[in-house]
Amino acid sequence: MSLAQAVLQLAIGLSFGLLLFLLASGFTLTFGLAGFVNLTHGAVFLLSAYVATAFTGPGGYVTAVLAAGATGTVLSLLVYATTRLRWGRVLGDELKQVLLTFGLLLVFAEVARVRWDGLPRSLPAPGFADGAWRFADASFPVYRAFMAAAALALAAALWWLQERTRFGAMVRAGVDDRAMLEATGVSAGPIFLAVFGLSGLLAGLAAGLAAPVLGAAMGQEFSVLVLAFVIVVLGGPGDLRGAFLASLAVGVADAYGKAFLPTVAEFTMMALVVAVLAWRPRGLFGGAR
Amino acid sequence: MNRSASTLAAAGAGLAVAAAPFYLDVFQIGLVARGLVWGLVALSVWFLLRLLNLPSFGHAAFFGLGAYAAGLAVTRWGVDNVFLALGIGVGVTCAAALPIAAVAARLGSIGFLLITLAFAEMLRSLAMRWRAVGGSDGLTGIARPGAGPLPVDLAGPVTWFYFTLACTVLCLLLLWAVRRSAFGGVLVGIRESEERMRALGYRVETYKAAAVVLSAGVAAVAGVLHAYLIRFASPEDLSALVSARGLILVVLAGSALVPPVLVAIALTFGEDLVSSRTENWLALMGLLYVVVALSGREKDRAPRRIALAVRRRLDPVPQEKP
Amino acid sequence: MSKSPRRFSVGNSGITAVAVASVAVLGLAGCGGAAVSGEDSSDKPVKIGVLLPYTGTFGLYGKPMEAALKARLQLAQGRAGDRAVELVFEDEATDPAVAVSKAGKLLDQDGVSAVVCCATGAATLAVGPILAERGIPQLGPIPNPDGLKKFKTAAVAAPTAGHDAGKLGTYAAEELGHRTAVIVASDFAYGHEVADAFEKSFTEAGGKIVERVLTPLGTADFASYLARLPDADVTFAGFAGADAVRFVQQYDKFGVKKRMPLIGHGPLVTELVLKQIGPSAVGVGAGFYYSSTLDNPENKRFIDTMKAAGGQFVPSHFTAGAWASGSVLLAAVEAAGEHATDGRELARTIRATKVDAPWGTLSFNPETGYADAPTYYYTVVQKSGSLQHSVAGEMS
Repeated sequence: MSLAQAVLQLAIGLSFGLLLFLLASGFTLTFGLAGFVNLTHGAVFLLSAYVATAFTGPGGYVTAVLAAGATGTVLSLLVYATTRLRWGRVLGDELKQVLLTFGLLLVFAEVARVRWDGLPRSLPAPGFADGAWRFADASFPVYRAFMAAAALALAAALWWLQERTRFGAMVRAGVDDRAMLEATGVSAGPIFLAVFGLSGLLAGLAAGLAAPVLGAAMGQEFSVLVLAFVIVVLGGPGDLRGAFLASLAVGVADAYGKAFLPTVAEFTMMALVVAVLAWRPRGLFGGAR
Repeated sequence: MNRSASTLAAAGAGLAVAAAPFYLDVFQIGLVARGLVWGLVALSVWFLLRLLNLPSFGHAAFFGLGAYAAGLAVTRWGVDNVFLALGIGVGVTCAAALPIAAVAARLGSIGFLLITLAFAEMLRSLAMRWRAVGGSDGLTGIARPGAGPLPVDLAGPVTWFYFTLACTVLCLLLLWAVRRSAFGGVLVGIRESEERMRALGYRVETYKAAAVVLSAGVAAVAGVLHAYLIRFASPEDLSALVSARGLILVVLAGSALVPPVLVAIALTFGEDLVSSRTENWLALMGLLYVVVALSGREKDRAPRRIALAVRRRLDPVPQEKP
Repeated sequence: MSKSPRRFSVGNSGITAVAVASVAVLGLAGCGGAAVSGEDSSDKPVKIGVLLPYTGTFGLYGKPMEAALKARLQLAQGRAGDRAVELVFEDEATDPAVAVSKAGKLLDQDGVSAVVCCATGAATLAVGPILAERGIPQLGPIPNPDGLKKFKTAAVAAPTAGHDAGKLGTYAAEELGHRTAVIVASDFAYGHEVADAFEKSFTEAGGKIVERVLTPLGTADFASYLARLPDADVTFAGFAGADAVRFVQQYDKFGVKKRMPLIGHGPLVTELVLKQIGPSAVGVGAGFYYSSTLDNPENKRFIDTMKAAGGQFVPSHFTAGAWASGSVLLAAVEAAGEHATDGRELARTIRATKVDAPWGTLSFNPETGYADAPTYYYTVVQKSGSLQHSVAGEMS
């Protein structure tokens, strides 16, 4: 393997990993804070991606990403509102969550299928990030670098929100010990609302940013969900730092796996999960709980 | 509802199922057989969930392994006896389930959910690309084997239906007996307090692993029956939708032993009816799941420990524990 | 909160189940009665079952194919000769188990005389033996896997994918003048079939395969594969659906297209995905039996009829295949006359049928039941703002 190849694959892996972090961070937050298994996460991504592909006109790119973010937020709040109808019952019972969110997953996916006829769609890369950089004997699309930078900026914003704001402190406290948080007089309701909204926003933005690369296609509702699962398992539930490291690790491992062991790449990712679960049941990096 | 009434209802429903060939047409008998297969999947999930509080999102792995083993037994290994085929299916699946069981026995419920999903997805991607077993086109040419010493021909829909029913009843009885046995008692003890059982000297991991293998065996029976029912095995048998269906049937059916089977039959009929009338049937099924998740009393005892723990955290005033 | 004295709870679902089951059973038993197939009186309509995926991964194909079959039937006023023809559609949900169950329904409840099935390989093969045993003809509307040829009652209104990819292999070596090639294909039955066929004929024509890469179905990101493709004269790609969109786009974005041209089997740049791929598709070549730009009267009639029926219609081999299947069935039912409800007789008639399809004359190989059809080579061009195929000619 040449050095140029190694660097190129690393860049590909990191840009994909950053995207993975965006789509998994919301999942891990709702999971860690509320113990809520939100199976709709992939379907939220799917619908947001489809909405993004509707804005193909010139200058539509920014609108597309924002619209995807808005779609994600609305859908995620819809899941929250449905749960809220029987809050106490659903919150304490992960089986009800599975049933409820699996049902909503089917409904969301069906909406996407009916509206866009189940066709695969994509979003053209914006003019300012079209083309490719050449280095050595390979080239790297500018858009990927832009996508990685945008995802990194969002991750930084999320870090700031989590570590430097009162809201973040409450979320962290809630992940660690919700009873303690509530004993100090903070009501968990609004925090849940905000975390669900944030989770949807992140999934939506991820879908929008990824639209020029991954596009929108039926089946993503499951494939994205499995990826989010993998990252939560590796990073530990509710642990943003763990999720970040896990995303990058999965991204890079995926890139090198595809490049040098193409026949078993998919298999190795799942084998990795099984191995990690066997070795450290609470996640590769310790885990929050 | 009191106990005798539900026993009576279950007996009536059982009778109605057993008499199905007398008032249903050939296609509908096939549907009931399909429902029974799903009932077995639900039972195997039920066992782990209700006795150990382990939610599996990967029983498709065991179901699919059973189906492929049954298919390969007939098409590649020259087996022509349904009992032998069942033995092979269950044996292969239990052997494959062992390492998973060993790992899973150390995990909590969410970890178990995730690892079973990962395992099933791994097998599915393997089946998709493994050309020797047909790849994504599936395993073709599966014929129903003979019934061995029994003087019946399983090729007919009615005999096959009764064979499926017999297998289902046997598995039901087996799980019922296991729940009543000392082994079942230990499992319930582990569910209620793993630490206490460990302190009492039980090897908790071994018990949990054994339960996972037993559950996998029941799912494998379902897989074998399914492969011979449709005479086909494909990577779809290993898909997350199969696992989800198993789990959903149990959540729909509640905590008793027989209802998962009846709900499975009802759901199979319901799905067929709705999907023949509208192409948006998946959304309707989704809405049904949502409604069921939101309705009902909190009588469901299974996740009691988690529910209690969460409620304890939600309630500012500490409750007196029963 | 409900105030009713008796609420259905999750724990009581056993009773709910019994209630639902009995209602369902009664309802179905009621429907079942109508399905008794009548005697061969010519005023009874001939029923044709159609199994298509409306949901699941391949759910996109069901509705447009149904529309094409319906439009074809309507063009004939719903009659084949003096027999009325009726279509019964069912959803196979991209799941062979559902396909088998629904095939049972079509046979036992609806009493169909033939089944058009399917748009997915596994479902086609799963339903095959069921129909063959009952002597009911099966007509595949698109290139189905070649496992169907062992059933004498089956026929496929399209050549196999391998057939077309094989023609392309020879063409690439002999006419396009490529000496070396890289193969990249989806790691499932379809990808294997076209990759094998291309490799075989390309090598036989003197070419050399430098490397062969198989990628998992539904690969999100092809970047890593693309970044290390070795040099060759040409890349052959075997992808369909969303994989095709992503692959062709990323092939261009990573600058590989500038290095070596891209060719593939038809679905890589079919009309269904062409617009979504965008300008990245320009210059990509494909070997296939159908393109919407083929210039023949039947293709014109097909596209005009479908456009007149309204809606957003995108012609593709899926809809063209459904249309041609309709033509075959209408012709066969008419030719079979009073024997149209005799499955084996109808199957024989179908294999002997010769009709005009949107891609040219459609007849069946009497040995295999697969269609004999021309294979065209075309490239994607940008013409007056939109992407379309430019047909270079028929490959020999």
